[in-house]
Amino acid sequence: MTINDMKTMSTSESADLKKRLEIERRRASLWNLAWSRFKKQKLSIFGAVIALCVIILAIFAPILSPYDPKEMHWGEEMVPPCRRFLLGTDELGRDVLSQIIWGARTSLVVGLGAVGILVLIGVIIGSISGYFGGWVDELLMRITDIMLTIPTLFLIILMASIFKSRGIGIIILIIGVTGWPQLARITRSMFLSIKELPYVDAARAMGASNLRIIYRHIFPNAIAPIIVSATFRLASAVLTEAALSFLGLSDPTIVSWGKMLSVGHTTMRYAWWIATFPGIAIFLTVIGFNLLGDGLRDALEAPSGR
Amino acid sequence: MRWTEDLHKEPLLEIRHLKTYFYSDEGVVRAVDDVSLNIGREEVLGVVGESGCGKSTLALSILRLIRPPGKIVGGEIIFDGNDLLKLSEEEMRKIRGAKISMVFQDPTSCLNPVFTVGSQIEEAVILHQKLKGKERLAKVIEMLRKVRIPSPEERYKNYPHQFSGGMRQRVMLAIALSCNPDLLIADEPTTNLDVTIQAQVLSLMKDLQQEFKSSILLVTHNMGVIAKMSDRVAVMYAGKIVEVADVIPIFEKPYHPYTEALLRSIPKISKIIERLESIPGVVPSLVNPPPGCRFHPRCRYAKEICKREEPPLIEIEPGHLVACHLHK
Amino acid sequence: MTLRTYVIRRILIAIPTLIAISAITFTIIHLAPGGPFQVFLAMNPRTPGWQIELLRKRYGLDKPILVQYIIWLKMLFSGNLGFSFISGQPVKMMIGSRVINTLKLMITSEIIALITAIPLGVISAVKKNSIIDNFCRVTAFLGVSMPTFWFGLLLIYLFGLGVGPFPKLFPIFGASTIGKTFNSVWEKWADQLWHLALPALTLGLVRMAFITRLTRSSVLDVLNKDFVLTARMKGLKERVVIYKHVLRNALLPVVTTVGLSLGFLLSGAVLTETIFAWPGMGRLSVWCTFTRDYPVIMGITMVVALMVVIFNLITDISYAILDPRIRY
Repeated sequence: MTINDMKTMSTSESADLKKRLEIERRRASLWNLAWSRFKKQKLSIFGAVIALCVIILAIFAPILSPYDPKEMHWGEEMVPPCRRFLLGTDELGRDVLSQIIWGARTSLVVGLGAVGILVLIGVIIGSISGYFGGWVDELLMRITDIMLTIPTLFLIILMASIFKSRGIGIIILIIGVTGWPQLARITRSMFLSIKELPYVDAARAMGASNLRIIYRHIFPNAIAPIIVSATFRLASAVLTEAALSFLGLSDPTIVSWGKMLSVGHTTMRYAWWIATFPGIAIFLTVIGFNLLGDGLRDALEAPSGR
Repeated sequence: MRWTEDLHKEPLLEIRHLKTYFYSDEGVVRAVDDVSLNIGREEVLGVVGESGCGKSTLALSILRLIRPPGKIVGGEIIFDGNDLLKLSEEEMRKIRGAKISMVFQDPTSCLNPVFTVGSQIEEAVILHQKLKGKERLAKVIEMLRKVRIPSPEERYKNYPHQFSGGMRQRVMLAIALSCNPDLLIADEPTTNLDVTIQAQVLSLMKDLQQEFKSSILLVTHNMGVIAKMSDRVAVMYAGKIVEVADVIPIFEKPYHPYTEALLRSIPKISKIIERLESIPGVVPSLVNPPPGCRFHPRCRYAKEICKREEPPLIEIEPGHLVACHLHK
Repeated sequence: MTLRTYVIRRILIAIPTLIAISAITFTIIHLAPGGPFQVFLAMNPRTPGWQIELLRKRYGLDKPILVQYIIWLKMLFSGNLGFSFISGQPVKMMIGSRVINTLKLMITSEIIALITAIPLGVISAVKKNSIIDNFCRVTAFLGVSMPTFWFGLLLIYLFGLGVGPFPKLFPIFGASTIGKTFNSVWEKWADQLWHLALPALTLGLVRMAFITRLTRSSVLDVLNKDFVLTARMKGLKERVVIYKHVLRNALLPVVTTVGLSLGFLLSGAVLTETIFAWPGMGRLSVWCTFTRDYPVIMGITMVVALMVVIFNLITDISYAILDPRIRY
């Protein structure tokens, strides 16, 4: 039920709805309703399951991984999938399966780190812009537009070029710092629409300070699309990290799916497994988070009725 | 059924036992549930009822504009000797816009924003009339003049967003009447307009009706509009017709408790009252309508039989039909 | 306002945007710890002393930063993109042919994407929830989740290597066969296209997924509008309703989004060029990042920004032409 829907209902419909809501109010809060809607979508559950698997792989990598991913098994280079090495070995004799499991950790750490940064920056900028309006809004939106004019990958390449060595922290920083505009836009539009609502005026009339209004009244209601967007940004960050390591612009010391792909590229003719499995891993992870995002969007922002 | 003796004995359109249902996740919505109605020639029949009673669905069903998940599941609509529900799509298209046409509620979105107003009227003319280029243009301008759009020779080149809401509704009328239809269906034509504009558009409709000698099926929830425009009135509730009569008897001597309640809830400026009257309860769900008479939960006269048996629509006086156990 | 005023206004806004981007680019580069030149020297320790001196003089590397920026800005305005740190070659010359190659890739990919995606999107929306629709939705979803570079590898494996059961249909790197002499321009073109096939398919099919989703949702939105009902009411064939009334309106947001997301296509081109050794801008920029050839990096960034600004301009103008609500 969006705010718009509530404004356009007729009196009889809203009377009916009020009754129903009263009955359910004791049982359900927004989150319970969202959860019951979410559950109905099988695809979202599937996405959540995938996401969970990736998280588990990432956290328990040391336990789950059969070998050390960097261990080179001399004499067993480019071995196709077999019993000893379930997904084969690469050109240096490293077990592909172990690399994939440890790669999950990289992807997730970079993804979550980057999303953390971009949510922080984006929400702060978006909320200030949306709440205060005026020239502040104009200025911030100009900056956002300009940032959006340079394609993200080029911006990232630009930033990557200034460092002598690129550790994982730098990568997280770069992806985070280039990804905030979308989130700023969403936050801003939520703030713009919510701050016009009567209960914000009521809060102000009671003497609440700006900060309190933002924090306590506007933000909890703006949070749904932000969560949805953040989930999609996570999928995108995983892709970007893979792209960066594929291009060789990332941390060379860590295990990464993208790096595996770039190796696989050169050895594709003879060893298809080196490129295939990391590709599937990236693909599934992105699918998982995208499905999760879709499901969250349907659950949290579901329109009423049909 | 016998109808009011009038100049025109043969009805223009006969709806018999029409059923239009919508199949949704929550169940089957019986929007139009066994409705029978006649529209005479050169008459204005008003269909009135609350939001959600099925009147718009009824209007759309006549032209077979119902789309999935909706479906016309039963009944007949006799027009010009044919059952519209049995015609092929191609034959139906010849009737749409030419013999029966329709205007809709929302003037902001009923016209295509990327085409000029003139071209949209012309489209209807091209479809159904064999006129050449210049004649068509003349016809377009003539229609615009008839609906009282000022400077039509200039304005036909304009786009819909360059017109106000009331003018757009008039353009819709021009499109609908351009091929001189026998029946104009108007679904809440003035609901989204300002009150003053409403009056203008309505009187325009009435004038045009008389000029073109067509009939109008006017769907609305506004009793004032009904009073102003209709010759006869049909009252609809929860997918069923509950009362039909000429306009004056409906207002002066309504038989059905729902009609009575509707009339009572209109505040009269001459009376001083403490509280506004409303009809208690809510509009029933069309998925699970109340058993027996659908109005019984909100009816102040409800008896035991009303909860069990659905009252049939019978002619209680010449030309006055009602579906109520109170009046048999 | 007229179209001309609109265009001129848009162009005037673009100029400060580009200046701002140059400032941002310059700032980012100079955030390098120790300064970009130091980083360059650190990564290229074997640069001869005379070259260092030359570069210092050319770029005024001893002068304060603001002055350096002004020098660079002046260079940009006169069309000079600077000179490579490494080879001393003018950046413009280095980028020149590569820009064209990247554009060739982008245009071909976009054409492939549009030709397939728009009809699919329309069919998908019109036949909502049918088998075709579900198939398209699933495929499109997979397409937007698919990493472009992996898809490219997949295509190489299936069509480029001739391994196992798969045929070797297309070449997998470069833009033309080296060492081959061509008898005519057509042969040269054919060879180019043959080399372009896999990269364009890679970029194009992934892009197709995005545009299909976009078109589908846009068409669905328009199908709900009242003017579609008006068009049907007139008696138009459904095909005309869709292709004339719905499509014209549905394509407006598609055009906008496609145009504004061309920057995204550019990013995709970087990866595609790397896989297929396609001699375009993307590959060059990655290469220069390794060698820390800052003038080239900055030059490429500005050219890319200029391209995006031009794309946005073209999109805005197209939209103004297509949507009468903007112009009148």
